[in-house]
Order: sequence, then C-alpha cells, then structure tokens
Amino acid sequence: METKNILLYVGKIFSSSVANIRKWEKNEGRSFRIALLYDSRKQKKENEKIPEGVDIVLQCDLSSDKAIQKTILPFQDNFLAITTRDEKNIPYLQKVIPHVPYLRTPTSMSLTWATNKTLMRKRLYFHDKTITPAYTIVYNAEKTTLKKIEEEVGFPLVVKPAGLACSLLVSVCFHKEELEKVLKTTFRKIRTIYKEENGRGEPSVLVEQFMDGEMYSIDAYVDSRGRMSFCPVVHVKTGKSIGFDDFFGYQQITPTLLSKESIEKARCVTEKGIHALGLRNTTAHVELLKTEKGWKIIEIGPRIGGFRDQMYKKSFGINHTMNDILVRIPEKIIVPKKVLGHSATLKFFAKKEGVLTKLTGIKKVQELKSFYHIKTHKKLGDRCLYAKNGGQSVFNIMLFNKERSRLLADIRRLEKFINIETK
Amino acid sequence: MKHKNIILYAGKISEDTVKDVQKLGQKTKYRLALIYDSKKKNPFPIPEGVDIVLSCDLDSDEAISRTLSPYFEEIITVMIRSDSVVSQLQKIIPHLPYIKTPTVRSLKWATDKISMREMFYCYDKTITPSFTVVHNAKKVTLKKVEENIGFPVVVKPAGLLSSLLVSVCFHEEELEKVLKTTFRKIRTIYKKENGRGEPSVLVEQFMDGEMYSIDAYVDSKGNISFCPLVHVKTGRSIGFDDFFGYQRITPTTLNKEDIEVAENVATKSIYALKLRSTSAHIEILKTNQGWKIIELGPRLGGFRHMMYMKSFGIDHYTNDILIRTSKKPVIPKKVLGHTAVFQFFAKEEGILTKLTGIKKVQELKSFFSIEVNKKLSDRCLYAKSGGKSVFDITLFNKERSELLADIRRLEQTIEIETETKLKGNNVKKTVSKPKKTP
Repeated sequence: METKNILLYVGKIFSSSVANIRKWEKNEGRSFRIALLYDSRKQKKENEKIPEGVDIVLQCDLSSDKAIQKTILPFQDNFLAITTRDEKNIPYLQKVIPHVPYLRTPTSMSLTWATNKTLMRKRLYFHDKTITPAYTIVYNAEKTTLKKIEEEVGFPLVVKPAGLACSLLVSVCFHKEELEKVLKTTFRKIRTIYKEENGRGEPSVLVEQFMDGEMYSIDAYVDSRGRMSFCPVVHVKTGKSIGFDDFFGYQQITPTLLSKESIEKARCVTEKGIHALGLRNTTAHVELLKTEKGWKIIEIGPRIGGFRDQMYKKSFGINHTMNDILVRIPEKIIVPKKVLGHSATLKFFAKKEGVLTKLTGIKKVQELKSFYHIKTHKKLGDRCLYAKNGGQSVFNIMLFNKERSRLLADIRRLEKFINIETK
Repeated sequence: MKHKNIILYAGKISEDTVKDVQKLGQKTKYRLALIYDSKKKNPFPIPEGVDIVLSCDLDSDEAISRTLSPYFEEIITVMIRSDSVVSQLQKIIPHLPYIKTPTVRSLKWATDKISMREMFYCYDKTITPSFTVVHNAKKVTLKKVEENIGFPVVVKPAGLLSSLLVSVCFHEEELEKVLKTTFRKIRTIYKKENGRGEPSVLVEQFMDGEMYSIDAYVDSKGNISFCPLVHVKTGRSIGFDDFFGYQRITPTTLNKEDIEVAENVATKSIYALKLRSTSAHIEILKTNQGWKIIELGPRLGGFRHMMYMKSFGIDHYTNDILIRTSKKPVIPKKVLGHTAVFQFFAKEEGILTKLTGIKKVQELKSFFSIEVNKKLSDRCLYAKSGGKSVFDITLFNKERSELLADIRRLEQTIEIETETKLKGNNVKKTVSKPKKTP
C-alpha cells in the first residue's frame, strides 16, 4: 500500500495555511505533501497566486467527472485528507468527493444543505424550529408574493438570495414598498452575480424574519460520528451597528465576554444546527444570534470561518488549519483553552459607494502596538461597493493584544486614524 | 384642620401636567400650586390653570417658610417633573414635615452621580460598574484611572444632567484630552445648567450591552410597583460618539425571566438610595455579566407619561401623585400598542442649513406628535456638548411590525444638513442623509 501523505485542497489554499501545516509537521516530526486542485475554467486569477510550499498543483475542468478522475488518478492512493477553504469552493469540493470514496468526507448532500440558504432553513426548521427564524422562499416580486411574505413571515424581514455567499444582496426590509423595491433589484441583479460569484443551485430568494440581537460565531470540528469539539466563540459586529445599511462583518473579536452558561447554550444550538444538516468529517463555521428569545442560527458553513485560523492561533494557540485536516484523517484534534490574548479583525468599507479618492491612515495604523496584519484590496481610483452589492472591503486589518482594554484602545485609535473618501 | 387639596410643584410645571391634574381634580377637587426660585433670571412661562403661583428666595429658609405658611395645612403633596429642579425640592421638603416625601439625603444620593455610585457599591457591588472620582487631568490621575478602572471608561461630570459632557475613552491620550476639555467646560456648564454640588468628575468602567429603562413607584414603606420596561437605543448605536437617547420603544421583546431580573436589580438600586414616597426612573444595562444600573433619577422618565399612556393606558402623572398621597398606583398590564420616541441630532455640530422631511413624516400612519427645537441657522451641538435635539418625534402603532416599518420610513425621510466653518474660509457640509434602499 502506498504512503498516504497528501493533503488535498480544492479550489484555493492560503499561504498562512501552508505555514500552519509546515509548523505542525516540524513540531510533530511528520511530513505531508500539500496538493491543490482547482478548476481550470474559472480560476485564472486565483491560480496566479498559488502560495509557495504547495507540492502538487493540479487543474482540470471540475464539471467533468472524466477530467477529475484522470487528474487525481496518479495520486489517488496517496491522499490522506481532502478539504477546502472559502465558501465559494464548496461546489468544487462536492464535485471531487465522489472520486475519493475511501477518504472521510462530508456527504455531497450535506454540503448542498449547508450552502443553499433555503435548504438550510428547511433542514433547521424540521430539526428544531426554535433555533431558526420563520421563513419563506420566493421567485418573483409580484403582489401575490409580497402578500404571501407578509402573511407567512411578517415585517421586519431579511431578503437573502439562496445560493450566494457572505452578505451578497442581503437586505433588511421594514415595509411592503421597501420589500418590493428590494426584491425587484435582487431578481434583476441575481443572475449576473450568480455567474460572477459561482452562485450555487437555481436562483431563488429566501425571505426570513429579521431578528434583533448580538451576533456571534463558533467554529466546530465534527467527526464521522457527529461528535463535536468547539472552538471559542467570536463576537461579530456587523455594518448595521456602525451606521451602515449592510450586514458585512465589520469587527470580529475573540475571546468574548459571554458567561459560561451562555456559551454552553450557544454550543447546544450549534450542535443541533450541525446535526440538522447532517454534517460529518468537517469543520463547521456557525453564525449565531443571541436574541431575547434565545440563541438562533443565522447560517452554517461547512468550512473554517474567515480569519479564524489567525484569530484562534493568536488568542488560544489553536492550529485551526491542522485541526481541520486532523478531524478528516481522523486524528485527535487539539483545542487549547488558555487565553493568550485578544484578537480582532476589522473590515473597512467606504461609507458611500463610489470611486475611491482618499485613503489615509494606513501607515499610521501599522504603528499601533496591537497591529498584526493588514490586507488592502482597493487603491485610489477603484470602485467601492457595499458588501450587499457585491463589493469587497477597502482593507482588512487584524489586531492582537494580550490585554483586552489595550486592544479596544487600539481599535479606537484605528477608527480615528482611517479616512476613506469616495466620489 | 383645613382640607388638604393642594398639589405643589417645585421649580417648574408643564402644560401637560396642568391638564392631567385638572383631569384628576374633576373628581377630587385638587388645586395646583407652583413655587419657584425668585432669583432665577429667566423664569419659564407659567401655563394657564395653575391656581397658586408662589415665588421666593429658595436659599432662604425664612423666605420659604413665610411663603408656604398660608398653605401649609392644605398641601397634600410636593413634587417635581425634572432632574434640574431636584435641588429646589430638597430645599422645600424640610418645610413640609407632615406630608410624605423622600428624604433630602436620598435625593442628594440620587442626583449626584458619585454619591449614587458609592451607595450602589455599598449595597451590592454586582449592580454597578467599578468607578473612581477625579479632580484634574494630571498624569497621576490618568495612571490612577488605568489602575483602578482600566480602559474603556466613561467620563461623567458628577452633578450634570442627561448625557452632558459624558464621553467614552478607550486609551490614555483620549482620556487626557477628554478630562482637560471637561474640566475647562465644567464650570461654565455647571452655572448654566444648575449643576449640583461641587464640580468633580466620575470615571467609571464602560460596559457594553443593551440599554433599557424602567419607571417605578415607591411608597412610604418601600413597596415598589413597576411600570413596563422601555428599550433605549443611544446615539452610539447609530454611529454617533454620543450617549443621547436616540430611540425609546415600549413594550420590549424581553422575556418574563429577564424582566423579573431587571426589576430585582432596579429594586436594589432604589433600596440602595433609600428612596421613598416618589417615582423613580432607572436606566439599566443588560450585559453579558448580568443587569447593571446606569443611573437612577427620583422622578418620572422623559416622554414616559405619553409612552405608557399610549401603550398601556397607564396615567403616569396621576400615579406619581397617588404614590405620594399614600394611594395605590394603577398599572394596567394589557398592551394597547407600541410607542417609540426619537430624538434627532445633526451628525456634525454646526449651523443648521437644511431640515427636510418634517412634513412628510407627519403623514406616517404611526405619527403621533412632533416637537421641533431648532430652526434654520440655529447652532446644533451634540448632547454631550450641551446641545438639544433638532426635533423629537413620537410614533404609535397597534402593531409592532408596522411601527418598525414607519420608523424605517422616518429614518429614510429626514435629512438634516449642517455647515461647519473650518480654518480659513473653508466650509464643511455634513448631511445626515436618509438610508437608501438598495
């Protein structure tokens, strides 16, 4: 039997993931080969940026079973685990899974349930309706549809295209005129964006009850028997809480100030949600809302949460990248509990959509004591859009400090230093 | 013995109050009296319907005694409507020893932010954030704050009302700047706003959470009856760096257990300040570490009479009188609808150059009342700088979802534009634009 030592990433791999794997290998005295398989048709931009340290780069038409089989055949007996990063790559993972039947993977169906917002809501509702808001599915913006929504869901409500990732085209509506306008715009834009963003399934729109509360997220590792190990909870502040009419995750911070009892309840709801979707052999990223009526699930992604590998590593010494692989091998995962410090990731968007005319403070924030990492996505002259309109942040920044109060102080300084202007 | 039928208001009285007492008086024949300090340079307009108007030097015991003596046996209760006149009530109380009143000392504890925190801390330290008192912005003071409290902190001048000069600071430089500005402004504002006690500054731990308020009636034996909770959204939650109450809404979506815990904590705060024979307005924060008291006022909360009346049929003004005359307040529990009160401020301080949408919002189905405080070319300041809102608006609807829809329409309709003069001849225009639907 050949040595099983290839970790296969589908769609995308980050340089930080490669670094995390290599660090683990060094500590444990083991050695892996890292392979990346991407779709030769659609990922031209991304394949230009394949990080150093990837041992095997494979590409083929991922819509063709024949092409996949042919491409992975030489390595088939060497694969140890298969995983992916980023919600957009889940459909690719689904295509590859049937070709690696002897690896522990989530079922293709569970990945469909976990990436289509409509199917997800249905599964959650049938499993336990207390963990999910009321919802309905619509296909147009006709008067009868609006009436149906008002009767079945009631205002205020959230409009979410069923198969799009993040907060793309997600809007909150407080009354009928607003709903009509939003639905019309959504159905007009939806087909274009579906193509651009690899939207999953047939375009449809989920309309669900808007719940008010504090947003949190938990990443969890699920083994083949559905047993779970939970990572620490992350507090999320959305754009709405800083005056934007948009749901992008503005600030993510860990550890939180939640009490043990609250965390226990959050985990309980998380477990229900993961079981409802039948997820196994995977990491799950679960977004939750702490409402006056208890914890509710916003969404579940069958993947590592954005920025979570860096945040968990800095704040708890958790090697999230490796745990994501270990739970799929399967091997014992390690989740240290001791708090090493406080991490915050912030996404900065322009207050108004338009062409970026001024971006100041970027150098200054890098002098902050808590500064850890920055990634700028926009340069002067670039067009800035809101997340709900398909826009990317102007920049993302991560801060870390051993003291929570000092981290908060540096977040305050950061917010004062940065000036983003658009025309 | 003469018939006791005079309700005496200290400091000032509003038209609404007069109407309410007249309504009450139709059955019980009350007379309405007002006593105010004759030293005040700009006395407020006295509404029609006040039966007896008294004025004297409220700093002189002799003057108060002489002024009240003709009515001494007829006064059934003495009351106030606003925090700003508590000091006048304190001066009158010792002259009316045979009617039920809060003690002068309890009013002092309930109006001085420092005394209040100290009393809360002694009674039950779990209901209050940690705090310290500072008198300057020197390096040693900053160090003391960092060691005793830790950042983030809230800076509150001890004897000022509302959110005047209240700021949140996340680090030492910010604290130093805020304290310097505060101590510079504090003496002027103290004089202007009738600041109570000696100027000093309370610095307390900043707590994150959802803000609520609850009004309560405390009888002479310490029995407490609670009104429904009100959810409060401050300016901070809509992107202002200011603590003014932007939105108040009742009833809340809190569950029974939460309401019970909130009432328990509010009870503790009332007992901590030894309040009796009074109404109390308690601001409370629901944090991950439990409910914490922000502040308590020995009075009815602002806008609460209208909100409670519309949403529950509670006659808050009448109950305020009943509790002081040893009668049981009437608190219907049935929800009649949902009420929201907003205070709109300009996004940037400056001269008001545009205010649109005011007529349009009055066409909203939930519209109930509006009070516009600023006109074009008036200066707009933040609440923390002593500014008043551009306008206050009340909405009411039987259905919560329809109220929320009209709130959304309101926020999308209103446009407030201010101009700020920059260095040279440059002018900065800031528009609080409506939120646009995508």
